[in-house]
Amino acid sequence: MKGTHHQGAHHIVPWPVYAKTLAALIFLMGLTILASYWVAPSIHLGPINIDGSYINNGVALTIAVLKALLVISFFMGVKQASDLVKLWAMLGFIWFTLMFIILNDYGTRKFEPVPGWSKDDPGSSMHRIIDRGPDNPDPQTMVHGRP
Amino acid sequence: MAAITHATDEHGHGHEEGLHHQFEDMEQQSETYLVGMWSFLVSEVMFFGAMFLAYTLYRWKYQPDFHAAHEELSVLWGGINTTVLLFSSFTMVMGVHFAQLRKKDWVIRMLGATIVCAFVFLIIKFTQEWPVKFEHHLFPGANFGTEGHLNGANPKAAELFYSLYFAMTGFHALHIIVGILLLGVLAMLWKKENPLVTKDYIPTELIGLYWHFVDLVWIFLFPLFYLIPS
Repeated sequence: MKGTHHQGAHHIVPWPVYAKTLAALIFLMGLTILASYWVAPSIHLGPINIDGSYINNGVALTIAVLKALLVISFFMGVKQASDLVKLWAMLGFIWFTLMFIILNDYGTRKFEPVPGWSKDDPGSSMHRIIDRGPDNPDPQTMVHGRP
Repeated sequence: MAAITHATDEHGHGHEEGLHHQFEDMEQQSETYLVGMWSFLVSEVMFFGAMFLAYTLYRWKYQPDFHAAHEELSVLWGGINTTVLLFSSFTMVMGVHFAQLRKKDWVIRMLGATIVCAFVFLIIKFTQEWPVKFEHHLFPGANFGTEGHLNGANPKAAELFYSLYFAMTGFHALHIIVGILLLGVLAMLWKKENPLVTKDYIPTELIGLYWHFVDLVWIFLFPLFYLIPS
């Protein structure tokens, strides 16, 4: 391929692909803005209770992820790249998603502190908040081992 | 030193131009460069990712206060900035496209357009968005909230919101500034027809990857900060 105006066995993406991607991105951006003004209703279907703001957040994040996929696949050329490059590109964002597992730490904070280590606490094997009663009061409210 | 003998060795420079000796062919070389650049971008994902996590946590815990505080942010300017950056991503990828076609003049025009868009973004941010917040005493510190503009939010939560806002948009702006410098250097290399960029389109592509990443961060920043549902 020496001397040709483009290099290698590499396939060059026709530029209208990029223009269409841009159009899609701008459209999605407009959609995000519109969706933010729409107050999603809460869903109460039997056991399912979803507050409206979760739906709003879900919509906004979905659109953002779609935009990101468009940028990554077309503008960053990952779609026609080799599998190794695809793997590398995906890894970072998979890590990013997994990182949010940390939020479970904060979500379970009300279970702290674990009373199990206090020998003064008669309810030491129990969850701090539930099963409280006069027989096993919250150890945080006890003074010198007495309620 | 490992000696790799090829049947085509007698061709001397018969390999494609821009192919370095340690690679089998251009495809492998290009793939290697791309994986290297993506390694850097993964580190950037971690860098911004941590801040996104912090933001997610506090928005979860203080949803109503964050909603109230975010109303000071202008969706108009944020939207314009988003459009400008998306367009700059387009001009950047067109720059890479023309680099593949070895059309030097078009590459320089596209890189120039990208730099202009970047400057527009920064100008909007630093004249329309940030100064308003400084005047309204919304920058975290001793003066925070002394001019109102909190929309009923708990001042502590609002200060958290603005800490995160300035940290994340500030780091993003810093990345844009670095991007402008990189694009400037790249444009200069093309102007001088430096073989580093004319023989192989990959260096242009790598800078393009960095620029698209900066755009990606903003794609997430915009809805998270400017469009918080009630």
